Amino acid sequence: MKAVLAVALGILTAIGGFLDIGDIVTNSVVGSRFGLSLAWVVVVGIGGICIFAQMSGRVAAVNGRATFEIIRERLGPRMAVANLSASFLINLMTVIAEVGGVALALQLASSVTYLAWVPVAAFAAFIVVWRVKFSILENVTGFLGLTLIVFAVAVFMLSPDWGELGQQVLQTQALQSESMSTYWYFAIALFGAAMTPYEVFFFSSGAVEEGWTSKELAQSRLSVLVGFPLGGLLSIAIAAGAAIVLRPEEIVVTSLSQVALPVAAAGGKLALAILIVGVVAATFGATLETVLSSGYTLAQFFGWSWGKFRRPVDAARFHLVMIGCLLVALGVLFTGVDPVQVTEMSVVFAAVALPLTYLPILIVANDPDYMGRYVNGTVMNAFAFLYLVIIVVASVAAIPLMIITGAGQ
Amino acid sequence: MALLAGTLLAGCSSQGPQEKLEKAAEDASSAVRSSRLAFGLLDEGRTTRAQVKSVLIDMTTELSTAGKTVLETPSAQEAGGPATRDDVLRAVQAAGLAVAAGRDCVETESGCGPASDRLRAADEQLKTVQDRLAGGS
Repeated sequence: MKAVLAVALGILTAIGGFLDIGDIVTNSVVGSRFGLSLAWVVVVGIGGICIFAQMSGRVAAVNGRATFEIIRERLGPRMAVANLSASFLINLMTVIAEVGGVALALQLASSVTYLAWVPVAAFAAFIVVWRVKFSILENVTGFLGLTLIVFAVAVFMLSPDWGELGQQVLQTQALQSESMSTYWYFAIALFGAAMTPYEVFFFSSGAVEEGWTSKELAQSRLSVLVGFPLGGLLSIAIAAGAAIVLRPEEIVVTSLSQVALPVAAAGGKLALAILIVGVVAATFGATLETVLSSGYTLAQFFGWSWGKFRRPVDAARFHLVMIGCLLVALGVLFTGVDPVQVTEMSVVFAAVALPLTYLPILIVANDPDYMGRYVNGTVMNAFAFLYLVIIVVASVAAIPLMIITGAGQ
Repeated sequence: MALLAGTLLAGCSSQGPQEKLEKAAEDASSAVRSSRLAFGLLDEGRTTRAQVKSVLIDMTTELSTAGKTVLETPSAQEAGGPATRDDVLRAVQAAGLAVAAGRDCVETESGCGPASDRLRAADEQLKTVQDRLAGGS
């Protein structure tokens, strides 16, 4: 019974913790511009994150050490520093986007400008990371994030023409006025949003924080293989809501306040209140995850003492890195930069950095010296290599498409 | 990386005057329709004043960006000359004023009928300008 509850908890927090500001904004923008014609990208992205998240969780559970520690040891400092630089910079961009996301969601609830909420969000994240136990911060934000199911409920309440939505899903090309280059630019953005690198680092380091061993592998696999795809369905529901309500009005999403309009149209004030709770929880949870991931990546690379399971005084540099990231986020957001634009940029740059993040994990997961009998099997490798090809293509195409389309204009 | 991307995007913008005006009018139209949708939901009691105010603040920013784009666009003949650009600017400015009026009525919790009417008129004005731009391209 205890095992079943643990699995259920893992799945529920994986669903609630899957969505972040990148998923919410990108899916809504795509839904308003392309309908559901890019839903297939979410499916592909979910497949990729499932494969690599469970792989990095397995590496951590089998070795009792997190991904970066092993990558540096296995591949040497030169390769590891490329991995570290790419991952850390993308992670920092994501921290900025998530703190901005919390502030924007609180603006929706209060109508007080988001700039006033930025320090509140950053300070709250600092306190939670400093004081709250890992399992509590992960589970509470994951559970509250489950309220984002309101996106899916809203789709049903809007009573859409399901045939029309189905046709959009099958129409895997640009619709009407959109160009093919813009279509592919947003395909890469969606892929980057689904496969954001911090999720893998957080998953792997979380396995060490929670003391996983090879006995917990089945449970972690279930959390990933059931939780992430259900989280992916919520991503598609966000796009569907925008496709049903905003697209016919030729409204293009450029702000978080517009993301909430389909939910309010479907379920009124109650649905809107639930949505705001969900967005705050999801973005705040992702803030914690990205801040922790920044600390994890740097501390694991340099061999510093790290982890929430240690007292802050015993992992001082780990905590200093996290405080530094929050201060950078604060500084950047106070320049008045639009958090939604930072989000849109961060998911595209995440796609650029994906090969540097995922190739080392694949190499380590194939090394019998580290993995013993838990080394990747043939089927897993076949899928992983297929995804590596997709990741490299997306990474190479991202910047040229960004330039050609003027960042999707 | 973001700095590099910004520099590249600024340096490689290949839109001509016609495309810039069309894009500005599209963005302005999207902002006005978002505002109208938010007002409609408020009228039906399906959303809160805070949410509508957030939408209107965001759309004000959107419209001011659109207005800036139009002002910075050269009055090229292929884009209908200065008259067309001035019409687009007038439509975008009317939209901005309509959204500002909407914000005022939401903040003062007064009747929003006149603001809704101004938004509808701004939407129609933008539609006319968009049709003209599309006809000229």
